Amino acid sequence: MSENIGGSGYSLEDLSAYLDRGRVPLIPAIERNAECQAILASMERMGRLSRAIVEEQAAEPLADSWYDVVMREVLREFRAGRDIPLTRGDDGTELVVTEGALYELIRAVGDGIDGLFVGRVRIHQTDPHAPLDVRVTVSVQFGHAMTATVDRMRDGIRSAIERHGDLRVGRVDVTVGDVHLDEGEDE
Amino acid sequence: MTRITAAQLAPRIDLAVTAVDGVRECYSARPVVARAVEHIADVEGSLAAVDDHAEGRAVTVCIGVSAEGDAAKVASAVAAAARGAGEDDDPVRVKVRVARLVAPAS
Repeated sequence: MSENIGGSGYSLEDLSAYLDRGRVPLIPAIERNAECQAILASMERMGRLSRAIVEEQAAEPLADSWYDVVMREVLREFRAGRDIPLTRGDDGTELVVTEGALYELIRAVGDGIDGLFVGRVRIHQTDPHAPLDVRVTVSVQFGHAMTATVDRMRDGIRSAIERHGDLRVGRVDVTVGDVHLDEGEDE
Repeated sequence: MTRITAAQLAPRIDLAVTAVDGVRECYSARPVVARAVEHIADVEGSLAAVDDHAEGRAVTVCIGVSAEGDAAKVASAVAAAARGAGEDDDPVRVKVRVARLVAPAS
């Protein structure tokens, strides 16, 4: 992947290296770029998660290229995307949130739920005034009650989005696409 | 009275926006091409985009706010701050783009 992220002039590999060296020396083109910042934050979260998986599941990883697959998803999602109105006014002021910000928000909801990893996220809106429909694919850790975990994700997404201005959520579809294992379990 | 130029106004808006309660981060709102040129030339321009059109001046700012508050309230305060940054120069259009809803550190 040699993407120029958000016009910063830096690729995903560059951002990874920048994070590895502790963001030193500081690069303004990265620090001032929303997409770069979102991806760096996601890399940090993913780094923590993947380290935990390696420690817990050395014998049975979630997927061989799990990190790469999810990072590719993150890279696609965090391109700013459409501007979605936060509120509607007619005084010449336009307040919007980017689609990328909502993707990051949804991933953060998943990160806060014990035993759940977020795979793919999709947001769909039939027209600019319609509620947002959300589809998420997740992996649930073996031993966690699947229905309760999925319900927490669904409720968390709705409440996290509807906290902001006039944003409203329509359907929230959460699909469990994988089950991963806990420490010490073989299968 | 001479009207403040777009180049003079942009850094004032940057300062005003940064001071708004609830703004966690400020990002470049300038077009991707402009950012790429800045990167190549190794210069740091203003974060706010100020553009003069036939119908008047348009301002765009790009911010990150906490995921826990109401982003619309912060964005509204940012819009007011951006309008006030030019003293008697009130842009006809102000756009506040929330580019990140930042989750609290775990």
